[in-house]
Amino acid sequence: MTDIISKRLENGAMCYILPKKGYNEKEVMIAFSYGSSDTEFFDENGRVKQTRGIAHFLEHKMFEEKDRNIFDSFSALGLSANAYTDFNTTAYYFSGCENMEKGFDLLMEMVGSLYLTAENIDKEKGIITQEINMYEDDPYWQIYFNTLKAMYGRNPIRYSIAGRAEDIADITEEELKKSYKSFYTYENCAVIVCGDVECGAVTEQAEKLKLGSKRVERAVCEDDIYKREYSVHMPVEQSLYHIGYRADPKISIEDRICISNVITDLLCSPGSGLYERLYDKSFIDSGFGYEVLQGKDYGCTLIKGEGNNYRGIAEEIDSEIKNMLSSGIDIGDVKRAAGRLRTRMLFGSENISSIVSLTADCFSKNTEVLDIYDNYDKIDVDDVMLFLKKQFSEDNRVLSTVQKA
Amino acid sequence: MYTSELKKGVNLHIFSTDKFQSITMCILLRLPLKRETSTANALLASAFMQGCAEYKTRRHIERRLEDIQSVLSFNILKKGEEHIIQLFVRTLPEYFDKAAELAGDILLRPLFNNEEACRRELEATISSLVNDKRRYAFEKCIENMCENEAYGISGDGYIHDINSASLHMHYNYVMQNAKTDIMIVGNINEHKAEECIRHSIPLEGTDASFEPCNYLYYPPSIKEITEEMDITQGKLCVGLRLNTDPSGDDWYKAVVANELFGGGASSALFNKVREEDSLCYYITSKLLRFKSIMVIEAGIDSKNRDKVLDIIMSAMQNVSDEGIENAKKSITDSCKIAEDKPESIMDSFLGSLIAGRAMTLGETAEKISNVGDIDGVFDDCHIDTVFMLSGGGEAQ
Repeated sequence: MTDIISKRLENGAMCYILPKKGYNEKEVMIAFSYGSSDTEFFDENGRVKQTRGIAHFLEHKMFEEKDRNIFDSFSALGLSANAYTDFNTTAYYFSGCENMEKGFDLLMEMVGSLYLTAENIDKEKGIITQEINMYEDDPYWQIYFNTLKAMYGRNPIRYSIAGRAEDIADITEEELKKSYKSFYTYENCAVIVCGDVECGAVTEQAEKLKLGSKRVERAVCEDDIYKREYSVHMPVEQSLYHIGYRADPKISIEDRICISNVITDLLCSPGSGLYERLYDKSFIDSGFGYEVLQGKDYGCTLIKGEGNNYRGIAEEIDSEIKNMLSSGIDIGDVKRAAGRLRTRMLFGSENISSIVSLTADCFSKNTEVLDIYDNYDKIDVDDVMLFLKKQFSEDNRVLSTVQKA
Repeated sequence: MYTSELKKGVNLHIFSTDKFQSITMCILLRLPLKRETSTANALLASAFMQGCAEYKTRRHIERRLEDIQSVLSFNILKKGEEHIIQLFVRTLPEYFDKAAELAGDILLRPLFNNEEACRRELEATISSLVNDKRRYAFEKCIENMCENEAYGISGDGYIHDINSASLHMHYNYVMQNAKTDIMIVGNINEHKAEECIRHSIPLEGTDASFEPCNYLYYPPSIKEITEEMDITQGKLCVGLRLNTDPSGDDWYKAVVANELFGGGASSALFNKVREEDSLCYYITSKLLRFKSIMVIEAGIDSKNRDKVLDIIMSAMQNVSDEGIENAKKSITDSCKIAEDKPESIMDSFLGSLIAGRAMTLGETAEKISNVGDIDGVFDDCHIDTVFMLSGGGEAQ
């Protein structure tokens, strides 16, 4: 597995260095633990409720500078820059082979200031509306958020990251400034550098980062399943389905990630008995798979695929779970699944952009990549049985579908 | 880089590097893209994982993969007018021999024990194309643009042909007629690897040779096609014929020009259509090398089709050398960056094999560096097809 050197900088930000000896590419990321789900928080004046999609809108606006186009400035250095926003993270990054120090300064400058005008906010609304429209037509995106909507009655992860066109229409300069001041702070910030780099030089440069240090408290959301079934119609040829199980966010995130993955691997990987049965019955094809999504105050496992037999599949999963609970699970199988997942993490860590994003994701969720990697080794049968019983019960399950219009 | 001809038409290429902890191997069964065989090729690609002599079922194969800490999968690639069945393996150095053995068993002693499942699966793959509107528009544009050329044939196959294809017969045909390239990237001794491949994957060899891809085409008129669908955002896809020789030095000029025109966030199209006019979230141009085609894709309000098309055309006429050094640097750096990814090393090398001129990423970067200007690069370029997937937005 890849090395990850982590260090708290004197300015308060975290710094992660991922050395990749012999690689040509280097990537530098500045990530904030601030995402689409942080729309409610408390500051010195009390409760603040912001517009859905604001974190993503702010991400777009950070690229705006008074006298220049920041993309061109990166490109003049031979670097390519980009950014993304998800539920918990906003991340800015660039990659390239040379001029890394200059690029790093530029990136720090970019996140250290915000340039807004009524005109440039308006222009961005047009661009983001097109981005939102693109997701509107994407059945995979739609089903994903419908599943989360069904699973969570109030938690903001139920809302699309970019918001809706009608939400962002109301975003103002003041609101963007408030969001920037409240979350683009040292304590929310991680600097991640990956490539054939020298550690000392990186941390020294990262100390130059200028951010605010305001503190806000995030609202924590606890709620119940909103709907057991959620179905919409779109122009697709065959139905898309998600069978989702909610997990209890009070369990440590490392356990939630590792145990959910082990369980779904035991249930649904192509090497499992259930997969074989479902495949032989023509219920599933190679598009069948799963995804584990765990955050601070939410968590779920999504089993997904395409086809019309989703009820049959859900029943088969249920009976397989019951069977596992009554006849027990072989420790050898748990170790195999954990080993497979570790190997997959190891292979993934060889790709710079995926290991950098994973590091940022872990930072926002108060954990570390290597803690998760190591935790796979610690999972035993009792953990799996308990988790299976509590988290994979019918009470915790939702079914979401996109059906042919 | 190490190359060895194992048999006639079977070549091994090893890119030895200590950069990676894993070893990646691809076995590429290269066939001409034809309507008669495209569906059968796609079927075969999904049938291999169903079992082999030693590991009788999918489940047994997967179990074996867990034991030897490896992943193995099949894909179907359409590159130029070639249709390629790809076996992809990633493993650790200590398991390379075992992974090669398994790959050999799957490839040479397959058991197609559930043909029905394969047919059903392929049908699902073909019909799910419509779920991805951008890709759908792209495929439709190419299908119409190249309706009389092999390149217009779908790499996924056709629902109509699914039931008539015979897996066993087709398997024999492929094994006798495919040109095969095996590529390995990782920390591995070249001679030991060659010995291992000769022993574990003893392919027969073939005399087959391919017609080179024809890249010259002057469209008699512009094909304008609009398809309606119940969608929010329209998808515009414009196909152009560059008529530039993909294996000549002028090709690299086109690569640089494409970068300036629509390659990324600093390109003319991005700056004009997105940043200035706020008309889209994405707009890009890309080159389909072997056919000398350029494709421009944008997600826009359907009512803005003509407006965006006008902007694209005027941007094309005005594409200039400004920023050429940055564009060249961006491409040469991406060649270097590609050397950090085993998939990219192999993909780029495969591309050069198809173009008939084996080249490493380093050699490609050098060609790019030597581009002096982009004068006249689009002089022989003609719009062939404008495809619009239209819907929504009209009511405004």
